[in-house]
Amino acid sequence: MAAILVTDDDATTRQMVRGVLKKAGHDVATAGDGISALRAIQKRKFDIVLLDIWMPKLTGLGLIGHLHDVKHIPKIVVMTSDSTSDTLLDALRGRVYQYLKKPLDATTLLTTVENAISTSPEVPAIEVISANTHWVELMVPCERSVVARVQSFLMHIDVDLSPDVIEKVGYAFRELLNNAIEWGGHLDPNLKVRVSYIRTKKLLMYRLDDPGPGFKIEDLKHAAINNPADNPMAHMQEREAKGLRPGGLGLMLTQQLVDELVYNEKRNSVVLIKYL
Amino acid sequence: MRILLADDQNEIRLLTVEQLQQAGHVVVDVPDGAAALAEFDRSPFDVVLLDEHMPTLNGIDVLRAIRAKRPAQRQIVIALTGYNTEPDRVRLLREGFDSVIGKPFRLQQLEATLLSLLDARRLAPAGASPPPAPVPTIAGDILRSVGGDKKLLLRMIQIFLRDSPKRLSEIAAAIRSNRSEDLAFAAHALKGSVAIFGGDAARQKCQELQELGRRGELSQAAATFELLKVEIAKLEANLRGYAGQTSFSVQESSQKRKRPGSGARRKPR
Repeated sequence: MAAILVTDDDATTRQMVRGVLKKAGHDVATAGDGISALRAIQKRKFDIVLLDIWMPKLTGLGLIGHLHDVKHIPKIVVMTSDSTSDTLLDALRGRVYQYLKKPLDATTLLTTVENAISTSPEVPAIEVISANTHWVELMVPCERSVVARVQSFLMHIDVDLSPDVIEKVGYAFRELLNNAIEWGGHLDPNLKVRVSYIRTKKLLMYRLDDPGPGFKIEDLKHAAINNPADNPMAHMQEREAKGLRPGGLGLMLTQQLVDELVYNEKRNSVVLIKYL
Repeated sequence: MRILLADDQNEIRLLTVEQLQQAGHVVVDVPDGAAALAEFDRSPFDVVLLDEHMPTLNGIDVLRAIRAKRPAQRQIVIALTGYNTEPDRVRLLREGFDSVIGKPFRLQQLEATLLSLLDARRLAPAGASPPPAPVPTIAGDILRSVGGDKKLLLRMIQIFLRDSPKRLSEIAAAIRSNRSEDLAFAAHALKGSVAIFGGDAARQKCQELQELGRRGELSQAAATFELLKVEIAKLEANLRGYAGQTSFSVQESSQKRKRPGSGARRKPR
């Protein structure tokens, strides 16, 4: 159970979020504007604050600016329907935990809250090196929940692209980031993956540098990409023998979803390109 | 006949006006949707011709407003479209246009369409009411979005029905007194709840008002607000209908739960 503050100037949204979270057993308080939310946070300890961005009196981002004085800083989940890249980047700089796009649904809401609760306070924050609309660069700790969090921001920057392109690039990016934190960073939150997003008129590019020593493609017996032509299921037998989760299709699918996938010599840095 | 013609392409509009006037019709022509609505309010027309794509309000927006303003009167409204494929025709007829004419068109084509529509009207039994507009229904995914909790959804609907008139008056007041920031906030807040219930047309109008407010351009806001009111009224009717049915079934199922095994107990003789 977590102590959660829901802040939104729309009463129907407050009722929905409150209802869903209460039913899941959380302790929920609500606020209808930024000032009341700030007062509530100063008065008692909350684990999570769900925050609308656009509110009268004090906006969500304005509220985040006041939080440094607070003794116990809660994890902030921003929920908004206005995903301008500036709002997203401001949220990233403000160390927002995750971004949720409205209209909300119960499953996403509960998964996000569960992830936020299970992320230990010892996990270092995502460090923002650059945050403009053409170049976003982050240092992210090697920890599972970080994948959904980073993706919640980056995948909403490209609102002008077709949902099909966003979905394909999103899948490829998620697969590569999962590999980087799992194989390169061994899920050690003190190690970090450098994630760069670069957008030009003609292309969308991601680069991921993981902290590991790299790998040899021929050693990836558990990945479908290395299956011999006469045995397309070889990787599954290998995974079962090693006790690995089912999967291993990631690299092969990723290659098919984007236009270019380039590794450096050690294979601890990878660049993904989609031409627009 | 008195014909209202709205088309933003000047050459086509002027050519059409000339043809119609030569055929003896009286034509009022306007270059955008908001002006069409203003003319419609000012005087009666036998036929309204609306280009689908126009600035300020598009043809569909104007049609919806016309239908909402005079639901009992079966105003003939014809869509003019550059996309005259079968799917486009079907889409526009479903929106409620009486007929669809592809551009460019010949005068005879327009006259034939008008005659068949007027014939159909004459043949209709006297006092026959117009066909009812399709009523949108609460989709299952809205209930899923609240985790299948009917009671929660009903409570949300109550709150929405309580708050939406207040939000609409806030928007009206902001437009009246030219307060663009207040308009943006009120439209934004209303958009949030409308989006939960899947009112796409209403959400779109809230979004437009929010943008007008943010840019401080309030001259078009009144026309957009009129359309928003129409869409909100539809959404409210839909939600009231759903709440009426569902609260009955929720009450019924909770009563059943309160009386476990009541049928097994028998009165002693």
